[in-house]
Amino acid sequence: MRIYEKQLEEKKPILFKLLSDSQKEIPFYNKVLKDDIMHYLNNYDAWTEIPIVKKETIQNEWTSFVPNVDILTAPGIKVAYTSGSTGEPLKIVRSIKQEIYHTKKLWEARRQWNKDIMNMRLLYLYRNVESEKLKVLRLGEHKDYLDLSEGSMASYIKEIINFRPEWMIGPPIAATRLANYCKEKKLCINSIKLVELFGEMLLPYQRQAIEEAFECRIINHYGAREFGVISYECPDNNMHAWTDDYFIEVIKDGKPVPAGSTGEIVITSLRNRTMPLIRYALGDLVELTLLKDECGCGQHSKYILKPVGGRISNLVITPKKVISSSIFDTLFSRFIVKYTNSIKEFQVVQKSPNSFDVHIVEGNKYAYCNINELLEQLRIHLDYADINIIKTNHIRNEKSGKTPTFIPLSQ
Amino acid sequence: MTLLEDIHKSICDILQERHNNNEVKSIDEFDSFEFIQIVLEIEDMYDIEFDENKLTLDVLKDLDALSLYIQQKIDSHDVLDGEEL
Repeated sequence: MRIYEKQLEEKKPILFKLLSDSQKEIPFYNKVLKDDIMHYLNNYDAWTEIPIVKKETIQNEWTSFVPNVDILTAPGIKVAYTSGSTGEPLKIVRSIKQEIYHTKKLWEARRQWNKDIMNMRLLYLYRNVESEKLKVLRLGEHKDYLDLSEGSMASYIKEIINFRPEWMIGPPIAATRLANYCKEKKLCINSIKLVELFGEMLLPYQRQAIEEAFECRIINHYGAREFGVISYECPDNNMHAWTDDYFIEVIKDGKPVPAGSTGEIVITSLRNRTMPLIRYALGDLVELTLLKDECGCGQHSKYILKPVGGRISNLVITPKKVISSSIFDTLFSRFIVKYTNSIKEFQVVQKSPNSFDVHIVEGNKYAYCNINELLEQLRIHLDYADINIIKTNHIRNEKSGKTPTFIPLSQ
Repeated sequence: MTLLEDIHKSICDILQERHNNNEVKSIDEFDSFEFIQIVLEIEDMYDIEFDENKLTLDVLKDLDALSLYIQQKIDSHDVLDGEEL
């Protein structure tokens, strides 16, 4: 498997340090790694002797994956949570220095599209703005969701036209909805030159709809809360993997697949030394290839990483509004962070405009949580629809490897 | 004007432009976005690349240390090909 041998060869010194430090400082790796660290770096077959870790493993023995619990309150440390789209959010710890390095790299990638992008007027469809210092228009009033109903769209359009955004950031589902609305109403927002999409998998029809409606270029950005940006599209339309920061493997049925084949992404972070993630199975389906020649954009990474199956959002249509199903990730994550180990997995199924089934796999501390708090939040956000809690032992995964957290009415 | 003075001036100009105030303590008001914006401007200006360990607000606050660091980068060969130290 040349694509993995090559990465191993290129990253040997940094991997040696990562494995050595992790073995000394992180209880889990102290237990599973042999003393002879060089053994794992001899060739890719030896590397695969390191166990693949899944989110559930880290959830179950979180303290074994950090040097000590005090790290959570240590200076210069940032704690983040995964979105909860695959069940219980995972606590991720990294240094603020690493965070700044990563954010700088993201802005460098954005500047490839336009050198002045940091000063350009931004239309932002997410809820939490990256920085108040950006020249940004954030739509809607609610802190947890963006109402995508036709009535709200009409009011957003006035704001957008006045603001004259030069670029846009958002999840594909919201950007597509806005694009389709503009197309239907024959509205021309031609100030937008670039649209960066992330948070969910970008589907071909979404890309086409947005490109056509705004006559703009699309930037596909693939990332995960555990790591940040993993691959980012360049102006030559190649999704360069950030292999300076990661060792990327693609695995199917426990075995690595050749370049260009589809499998589950398994990542080793070369930067996060606070909470090392070594051979971490993210749960997304991807394809990793190696360019034969340098890309025209001038980036040195020849590794191209395309997501081909991952999280997709749907629209939740209630009698009063239309919102992205990511609202469920937000509400459940908030609840589970408050009541740790209360819920292991969840799935919301819309039965009618006014009725939802909520399937829950109980965590071992379910008895200590106040489920009524979650029910009340769901009712508020779903316009006081009927919510039926259904307890179950397991929620089945889709072929993509992810468990959809929402099944819309039409399915 | 020496190179060090030139670097000092460039940074102060950037800060002044941001906050219409040339006092270095105003860096404390910066969020990471603004900090990165300044770092990228300095990198463009002197054709250098900050290494990861220098990406802190303290580096910007200590102008002497920053200037010395930038001068070392400029003096070294790797500045020419833009590699990180």
